[in-house]
Amino acid sequence: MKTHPSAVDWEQAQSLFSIVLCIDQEFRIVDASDTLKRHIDGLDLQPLLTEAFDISRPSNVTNYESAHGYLDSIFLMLSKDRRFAVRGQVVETTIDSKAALCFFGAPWLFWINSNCPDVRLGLGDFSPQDVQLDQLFFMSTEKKMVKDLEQLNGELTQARTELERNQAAKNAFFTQMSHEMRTPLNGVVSALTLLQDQMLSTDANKLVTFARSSAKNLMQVTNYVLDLSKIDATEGVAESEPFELEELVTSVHNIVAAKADEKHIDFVTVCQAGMSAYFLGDLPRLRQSLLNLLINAIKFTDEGSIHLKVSQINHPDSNQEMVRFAVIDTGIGIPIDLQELVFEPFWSSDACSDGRDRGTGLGLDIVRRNVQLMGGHIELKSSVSKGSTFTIDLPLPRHVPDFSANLGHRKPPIENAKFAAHVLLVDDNETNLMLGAMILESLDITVSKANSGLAAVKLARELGPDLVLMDISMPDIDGFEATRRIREFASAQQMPIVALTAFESEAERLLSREVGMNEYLTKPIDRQKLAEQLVNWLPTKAMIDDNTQGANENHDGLVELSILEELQSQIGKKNLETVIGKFLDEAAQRWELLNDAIAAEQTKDCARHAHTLASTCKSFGLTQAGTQLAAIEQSILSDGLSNMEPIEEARVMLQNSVARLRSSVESLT
Amino acid sequence: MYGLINSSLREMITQQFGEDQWRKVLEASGVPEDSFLTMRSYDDTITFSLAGAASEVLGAPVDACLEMFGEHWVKETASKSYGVLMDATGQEMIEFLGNLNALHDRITSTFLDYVPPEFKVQELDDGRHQIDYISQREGLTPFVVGLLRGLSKRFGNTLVINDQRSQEVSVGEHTVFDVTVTPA
Repeated sequence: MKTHPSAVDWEQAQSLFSIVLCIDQEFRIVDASDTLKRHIDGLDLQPLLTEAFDISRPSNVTNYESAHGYLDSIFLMLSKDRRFAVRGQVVETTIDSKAALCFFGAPWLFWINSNCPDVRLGLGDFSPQDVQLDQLFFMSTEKKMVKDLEQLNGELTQARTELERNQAAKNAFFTQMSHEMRTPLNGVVSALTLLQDQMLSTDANKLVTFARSSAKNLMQVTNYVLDLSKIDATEGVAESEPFELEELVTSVHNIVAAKADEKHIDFVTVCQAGMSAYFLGDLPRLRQSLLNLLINAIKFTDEGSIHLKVSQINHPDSNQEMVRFAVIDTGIGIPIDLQELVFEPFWSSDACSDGRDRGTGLGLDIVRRNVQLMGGHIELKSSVSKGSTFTIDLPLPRHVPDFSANLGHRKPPIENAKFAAHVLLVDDNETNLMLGAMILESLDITVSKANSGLAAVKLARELGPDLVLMDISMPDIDGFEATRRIREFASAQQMPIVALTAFESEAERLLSREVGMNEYLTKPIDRQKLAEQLVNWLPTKAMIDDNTQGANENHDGLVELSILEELQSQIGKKNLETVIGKFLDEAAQRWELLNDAIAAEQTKDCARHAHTLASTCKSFGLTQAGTQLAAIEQSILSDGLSNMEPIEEARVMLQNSVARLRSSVESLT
Repeated sequence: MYGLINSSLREMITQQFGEDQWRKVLEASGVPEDSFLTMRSYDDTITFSLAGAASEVLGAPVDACLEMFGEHWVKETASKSYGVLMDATGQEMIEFLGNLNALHDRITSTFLDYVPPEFKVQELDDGRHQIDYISQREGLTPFVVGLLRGLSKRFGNTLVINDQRSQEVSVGEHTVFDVTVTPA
């Protein structure tokens, strides 16, 4: 049997609730708790509830009956003088056996704090179980917590700002140092290049070769040290340009082989058989990463060998095709506890106390950053005294080169290129001007010189050169401003401007494009690189010869050998043979398709096959066959298949041209 | 202890002795954190390490440092962050001390694992009062002395501690103060 407590008395009610009101059927307050009496005057006079309070919730309570309808609702009431407020609930009770209402509640703490902060409430104004004070404490603490977090955030922001400021100062220092170091090196390398063109004795030539190689090495070391600032400055997106794997491996090999030779270490590069020849990727970053790994390998290997192995793998999770570059050495190895550290910037092993040059400690950090930027992964496996293997896996998509597109703009082989052009060379450094002019003149270019930005603008206007080679940093107006002014009277097509800067910076490169420069080159002037760029903008002697003397044809004119030679210079003989093999197969198939279409009298298909065949024939130097097939295409489109005679002539022409192509390829050296 | 205590300690040293001294205290303490979050619970050793380091760096006994901290707690931390609650707890010192347990009880709903100390106030002869401080933590009696001094300043009273003695307890500490609180 359940037992219930008897009704609570007045004292017990006040103990449970600090605010208690007894309301009779006339809606008068017949009694009020002590807390209420302390804060509101006149309650002893038994006023109507609506005379003592404004009832804000429920909003339509005006008398006993209406209040009785809200027994399960919260009541929010403000004293008439707006100095006190209460919140609570009304229950039905009896006073002297008559029905009555009783309000149980508490001071409405948050309203009073907000509206009457001078009203002093004590802990005694709240019953112990009232959670409003607990809430107040919690909210005060939370407010303080927010302040803590704001302060912490401020400290972190400040620390980041300082870090960025320091980083910017470091970058500025590196950039300045780059400029200061490259300018004199530019002079040395350029002068040695020119000196080597002179008639020198064998011994002198050897010495110059040695000096030039050393100067280039020094330039490489300078670049190596400065790479970090470049990475910081260009943090962001890796480039995705087509490159030839073999060219990459060969260039890396050529740079590193001499160093390996010096230490009598075998250096072997191995590309997996059957790999694609071309890929899309960030060649400069990839080359830089491989060079850093290989230079490290040589540094820490005293005997044995270094291998660079390139292979195609599938990503273990995504099955995506990846290219793996593994640099394997038989050097001193890295203890397991240091293997994580070697990728940290500025880290170099103290254990290495044999006087070996430990470098800047930036190389592997640069590699790690590069690999991450290219979306790849680097791994190290190493055993002390046995050697190390650094493995880079990169997601490099294969690239299928469009050789025919390259042929649209025929360039002569760069080596020994000669130009028939007038170039305005701009540099505030007299030595650079002299050396630059000598290099340009060695390419048969007529050179005008300007030693300031203002002079450059004036001479560009007066002389109208074919191209301007523009230094960036100059005392009066810089190369950007000079370019802006030149662009006011000469467009990029009319007068190409190539920036020639002492230090490479992504921001500067972007600005050079914005102001209307056509290209961006870094000093020192490398004659071959310069020629490679100039050939895009300037007429060469070979082109002029072509125009005046006709194409370089073989004796029967069926194959243009110059086109084959150019293709060979671009992709190498082996690749050329492969590509031509494919072309011959495809040409045979296409001819079959053309014949089938003729038999089926499908005019449009005939024209399409003739067009495709004409286009590919021209790409491989079968110009006459191509021209004839193009004529057939036009004839079919205009007259249909009424005249079959030219098609038969084209068949004979194609047959002879193909035979000539086979023999021409074999005879290429 | 909660971050509130540690950050208050940092605030006191920074305000009264400067940022450099705080750096030295932090370094001497071996505490790795420099910032404390009010509502996060930290290991007690952090607070005691900071107090010990403050004593070493500032060249004052640990008790003096804790006492100074008690005063700072009332004047700065409690009054500025919990002013309304401090006001509600009492308008004069003895009333405040009498209600202190109720205040601490309400704190337990915010700091969930908080075990508050207990204060008992008894009126003695000659306007004196006995204040019993009972805590499960050891070593914080000097902090309570600072609290009493801070409260007397808050309410504009003069406080004389006539006697202070420890009672034997199995856990923590129990200190009995005999005080005279008079209007200034």
